[in-house]
Amino acid sequence: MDGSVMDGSVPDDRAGGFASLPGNLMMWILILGELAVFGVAFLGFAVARTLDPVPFAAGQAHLNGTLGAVNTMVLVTSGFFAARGVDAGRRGRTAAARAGMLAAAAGGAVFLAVKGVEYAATLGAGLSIDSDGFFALYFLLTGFHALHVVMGIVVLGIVARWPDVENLETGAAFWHMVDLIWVILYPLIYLIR
Amino acid sequence: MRPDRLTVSWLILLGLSAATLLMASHGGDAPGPAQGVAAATVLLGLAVAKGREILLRYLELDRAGAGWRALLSGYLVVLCGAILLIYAAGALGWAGGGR
Repeated sequence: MDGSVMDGSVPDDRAGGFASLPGNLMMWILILGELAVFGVAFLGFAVARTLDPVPFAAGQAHLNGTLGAVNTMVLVTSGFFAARGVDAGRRGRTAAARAGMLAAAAGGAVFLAVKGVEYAATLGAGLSIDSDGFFALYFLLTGFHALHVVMGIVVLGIVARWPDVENLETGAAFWHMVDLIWVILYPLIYLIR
Repeated sequence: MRPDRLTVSWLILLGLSAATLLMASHGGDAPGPAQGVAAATVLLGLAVAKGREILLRYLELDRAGAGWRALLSGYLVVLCGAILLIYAAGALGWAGGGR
């Protein structure tokens, strides 16, 4: 008896290469591409701050780190629902799979609502994308990430409508990638002083 | 009943997120450059820990090939390590506009 059976999860024997990853191959090619793009953008942000630290420190002082932490918890909880949905789908529990994906999408909507509150406060203080280098990169990076959250909600909605196992795995993989990017973006932009 | 591994993973992620917030609210305004680099190291370390949990449990790399685990964990560690090095170069006056 292997570990996966002992802890109650569904055992699966996967082949090597891309076949050992959950979901559709094309999604993994997209995920690797997205991770590369965000990685380069994050390095660009770090370099820009090192070259011109004063406006970055001043800009960061306007951000609400607590809202960012709330959003981290929202996203990891949403990711948990998506992973649960995949697990339910593998067990043939279609209704639970669907519910997991819709709960994950609802988490995404909460993330966007919190982001909206944050943007409203920033813009309300007269700080916009053309204020300085910090706010240009802040709005570009968080906006680009938020766009991925919007896309993720759409993808989760689609796989909730057609919840076969491959679709569930593929949609959830995209969602977890969005989550993964956020856990790096959050300390980089909001916390490291 | 023993919680399943996904639930454990979710609880770990919530705990790491809480630790990140605690760290940011108490160690954010570090008094000197060395302390700033130490705080950045802890924050990025927590990010790597969260990222590993997402990769291994949510994205199920714990059930994929070792090469995938190495590639994507390597991405996390190399990216966060590079961010830290760039930050340290500025904070410690090796490069950039000084602090």
